Amino acid sequence: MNDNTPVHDDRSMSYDDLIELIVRYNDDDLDEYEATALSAAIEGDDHALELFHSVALQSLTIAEVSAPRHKPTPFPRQTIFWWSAAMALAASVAFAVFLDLRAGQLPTVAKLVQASGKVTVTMPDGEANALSVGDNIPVGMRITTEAIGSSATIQFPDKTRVSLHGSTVAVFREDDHKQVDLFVGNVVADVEPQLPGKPLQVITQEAVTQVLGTILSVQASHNQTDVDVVEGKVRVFRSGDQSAVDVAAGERVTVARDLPLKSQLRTPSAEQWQIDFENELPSDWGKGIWVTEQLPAGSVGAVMAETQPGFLDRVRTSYQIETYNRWSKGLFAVGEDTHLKLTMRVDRTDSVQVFVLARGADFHGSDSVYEYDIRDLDPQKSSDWLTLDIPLASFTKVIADAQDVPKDAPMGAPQLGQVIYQVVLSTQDRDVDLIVDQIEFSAGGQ
Amino acid sequence: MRLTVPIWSIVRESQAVEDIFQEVVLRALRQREQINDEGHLMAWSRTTAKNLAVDWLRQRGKSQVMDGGAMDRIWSISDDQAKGLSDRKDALRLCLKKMPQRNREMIQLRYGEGLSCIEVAKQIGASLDAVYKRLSRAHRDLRRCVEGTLHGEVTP
Repeated sequence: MNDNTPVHDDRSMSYDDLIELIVRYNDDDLDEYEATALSAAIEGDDHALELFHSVALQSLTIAEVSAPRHKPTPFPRQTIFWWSAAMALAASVAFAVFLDLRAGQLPTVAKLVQASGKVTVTMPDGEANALSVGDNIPVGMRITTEAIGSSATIQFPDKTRVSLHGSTVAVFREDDHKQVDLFVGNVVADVEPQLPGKPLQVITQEAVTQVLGTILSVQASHNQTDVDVVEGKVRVFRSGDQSAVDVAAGERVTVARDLPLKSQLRTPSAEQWQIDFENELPSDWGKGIWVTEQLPAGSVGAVMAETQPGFLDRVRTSYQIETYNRWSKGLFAVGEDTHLKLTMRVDRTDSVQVFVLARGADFHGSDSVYEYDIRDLDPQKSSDWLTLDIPLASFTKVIADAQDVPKDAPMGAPQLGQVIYQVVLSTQDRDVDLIVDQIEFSAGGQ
Repeated sequence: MRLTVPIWSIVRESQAVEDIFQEVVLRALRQREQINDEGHLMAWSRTTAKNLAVDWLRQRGKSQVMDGGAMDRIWSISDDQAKGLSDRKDALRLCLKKMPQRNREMIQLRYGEGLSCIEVAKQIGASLDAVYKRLSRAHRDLRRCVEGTLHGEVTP
């Protein structure tokens, strides 16, 4: 378990290894890779989750039935406090010096050449440090683009570029070949020709994608990897059974345990998308709680805002509804006269922010976030349902802490042909009981 | 069970589980007029408990927080699973009584006294690795005993 490579296939972990990993997690003793392996096992394997809950239950029950012995206190409380504070200060200074030394010594593999929003590198001690354009990327350390809508482009010495989009976590290595470990999220790789037999590899939990020189997009989500090829050709291996498929320009493949491994033509996203929450929330839905009461006439289900880390600022808590992430296939493409039709309610006067996340039609360029503020909602009573019709042309571009975009950059509306891959509704830190019964994007107004 | 097991999984300290659970209950009482039904209460409690647990962890500078997807899974305990955990807890109490003395002392130190594994290692004069191995075996044996008890088998 101390191998430097993250465990991508949780099924390779034995039962005893898993229990020991849980015991050591409970003792706060896992390194980054072991923590990733445990997270992946819990996320992808019902048995691992059941085992994890079982160990927690055992620990809790043992604590309940054990009468703790009295611990003697050899010093007055205040003395202990000052000694502890002094020791903690001394330790933190020593640790900071040690970390600086260690950070300086880490071998690097590439450089950050573009960043928008917060980009961090997780150091060996678990500390997340912010990265700026021009910083080196250490080998084997997690690079994270924090909030949805943020992005980062990493460039290898041979000009091969890999860009991270939205909430994405990836690790970069180069030994005799380049390797990108994609834990979750979306990357687009523009790969310069690689030496024969030494392809760049993009590794996710479900798949290994080998690239000799091409442009492609890879989305890693829960139990599924989507590979879209824009130029050239790639070979995709399914980790579970080592079956392989070649995917050519203009084709895509979805790799999942229960799906046939078969490439198919990429088709343009439709110009409309709608969801009415009548049959629970989809399993890969982002944020929100499914509700079945106090709905508008004829409806049997809706989604209520859930408290989560903020959309643009992950440190703050927000009340929000977030659709699934359809980076690869897109929710819909922006048309000539696309409108948002929204059926919703709030329980008092307030405003609701609607964000749409867009990418280029062929994964080119950086992705964009557009915002519309539904202001001065004034329900007469909390059960009032509102149906709104908002032209997509009324949305304006959000530039979130862009490191390389001037503050006076154009703030226009979504562009024709852009692909919208996620939608978020937020009331920031205000709990106004936001419930949405229907979201529809389609051509024309009422 | 639906709250305390996930809370423990995040904070890994029994006293903190009690504190957070109490805080959730107090907040729920203060907000009772805004909570419509049992489903809403459960969802609200889960979110509040999760936020409090993660805040507690961060305030103490603990680095090991589960990834988002794993975190969501830890909190998704269905009605049936909650019932299963409750049954297991009863069987667990029986199994703890059958546990060999040496293992019982070790788990008492680790979870009853709340000592870290390195502190347990010093206390019993073993290496840290040995404590991890013995604790893992103790958890595995307890689990087997619980399975056996639930299925009506006679366990040693």
